[in-house]
Amino acid sequence: MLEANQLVLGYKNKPVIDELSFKVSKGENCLLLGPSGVGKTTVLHALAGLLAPISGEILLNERLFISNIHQPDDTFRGRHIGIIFQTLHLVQALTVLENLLLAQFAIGEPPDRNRAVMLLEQLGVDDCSDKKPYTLSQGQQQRLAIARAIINKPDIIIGDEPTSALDDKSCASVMKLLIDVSSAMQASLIIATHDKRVKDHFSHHIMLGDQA
Amino acid sequence: MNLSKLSFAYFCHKPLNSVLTIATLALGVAMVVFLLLVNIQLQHEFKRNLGGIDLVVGSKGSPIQLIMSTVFHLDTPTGSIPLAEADALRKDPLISRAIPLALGDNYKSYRIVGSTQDYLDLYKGRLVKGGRIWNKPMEVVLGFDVAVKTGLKLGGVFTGSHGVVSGGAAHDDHPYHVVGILQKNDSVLDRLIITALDSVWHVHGHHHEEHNKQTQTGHAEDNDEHHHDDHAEYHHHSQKEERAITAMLITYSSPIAALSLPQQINSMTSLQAASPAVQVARLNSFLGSGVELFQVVAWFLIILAGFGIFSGLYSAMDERKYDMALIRSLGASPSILVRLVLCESLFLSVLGLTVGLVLGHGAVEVLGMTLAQSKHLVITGFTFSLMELWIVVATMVIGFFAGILPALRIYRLEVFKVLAKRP
Repeated sequence: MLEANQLVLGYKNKPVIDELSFKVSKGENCLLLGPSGVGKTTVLHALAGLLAPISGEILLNERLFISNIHQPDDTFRGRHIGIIFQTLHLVQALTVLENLLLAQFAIGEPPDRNRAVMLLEQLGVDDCSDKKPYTLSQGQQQRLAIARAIINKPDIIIGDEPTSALDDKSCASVMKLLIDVSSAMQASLIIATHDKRVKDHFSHHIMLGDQA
Repeated sequence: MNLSKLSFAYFCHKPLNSVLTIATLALGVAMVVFLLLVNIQLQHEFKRNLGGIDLVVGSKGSPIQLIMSTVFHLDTPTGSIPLAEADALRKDPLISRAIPLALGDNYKSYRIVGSTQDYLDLYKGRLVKGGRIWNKPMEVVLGFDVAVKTGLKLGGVFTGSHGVVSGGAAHDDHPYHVVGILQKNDSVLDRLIITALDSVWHVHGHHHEEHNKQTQTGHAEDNDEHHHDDHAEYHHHSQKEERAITAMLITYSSPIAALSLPQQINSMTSLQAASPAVQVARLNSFLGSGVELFQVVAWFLIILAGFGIFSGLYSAMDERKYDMALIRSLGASPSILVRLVLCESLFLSVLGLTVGLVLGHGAVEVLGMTLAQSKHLVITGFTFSLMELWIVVATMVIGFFAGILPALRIYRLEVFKVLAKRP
């Protein structure tokens, strides 16, 4: 269960988000909506522990996770939060399989090749496992990014505009995939988007911008 | 996945810069190693062959040439001196030992040296079992390398040819008999054929008549470049008291001799006296400035390669900051990234160092093989010096420092800014 209390976020003490509060219960999926530039990515970075809030706090499983004086350590973040970035951030020097193993390496786990291969199979990109990411199609890259976000079995999966570059058909299949894998792992899915096509998949919406 | 695999993956992803950096580093290391090994072996060669010789007396000419030709057997002799004059000199009480040397012939480029048993004792030459020292003219003792390379055995017979390098007229009518072979000695003895002084006089006594005939009929011996060096020894062979030798190796009876004897010989007689120690030092000072210059260039290359590693990593970190930020977001601490950068820098250093060491030793071995054909200096690439450890340490330190700034930059990376910004 994730709880944000009166979050004030911004860069160099210029608040972008003012006193945002919401709750996401365990296994619940939630959509962060708002026009471009309203601060969706900022909220996600704060939830991921990459950006310290100016004030307010975030609780994870009823324990203080983040505040302006408390930043989670890197390994904790790597274990509990899986992130799918808007621009994917795949490591081009590594193969598809190695991109997955990298996530295990980052939290200091020994590489679990079997799990990595299994995930690639599950997401239908196992035939590319020895290729470099830049040789993959956009859809395949998206799946790889999802695989990497979930390989460490996180409690929360964060997605930043995961569908903006996709056509309708891919958009639907990626959303289905995301919802399927997160419910299979009983993880909460938090997606920031301005993509209207995604709305119907979620019941819990958090509006940014207009609402504030 | 681990640090070294990750470093290696980045190395393979953009190999050109890395390869150039490694090549620069390797060249620098190879040059330093080459100079070091050659210098060490040359100094060693000088040192062990100098053993106990305080002064060399020979004919007037270049003192360095005199030392090089008679102590190290590397150059052609300066000329010859009358035996009578040499004999008169050895009575000087300041001289405890004087060893006469008569050069003039060779067998397959191995010099045949007429001398006394003192010459073997000077370098502590020991005979292989079954052999003995010469007791009459035309009997010889072979140095270890000579025996191995020519295949001559005890009881073997060969004829020398004229001059100190091969190609001179053969002395077919004066065969030498092998009566002894020396054990491996690591001195100049290894590549010499030693015989009695009489042998040299004997061969050239007869040869002299032929030589005169040849000269009269216009034969080409005058073109022999060693003409002036080697022939003087036997020009007056017919009168025993005017026999000649090439030089005399002198050991002082007292250190005081060094103050007066060389000066006395140089000014009062037609002979030249040269101190091997002084001449080697002189030679080293000539060579030294060249060697030093190369050494400076070589270290400059190594430091340049250090800057190469630095700038390569620095710009690579610029390209890779997204990857680095990503690895942070995946759960890696900044210190892991720092280790990654340092690991990569050390990886480049180790590769450059290894290639450089192999290249350096290889180059020395190639030089050694070239020199082996001239049968002079023995130099090998299959030798290691403790000094090389310093090269290893210095290179690794340079590699480490080259990685520190790029690593610090990564340490201070603002993850969320980088991740939000990617084009």
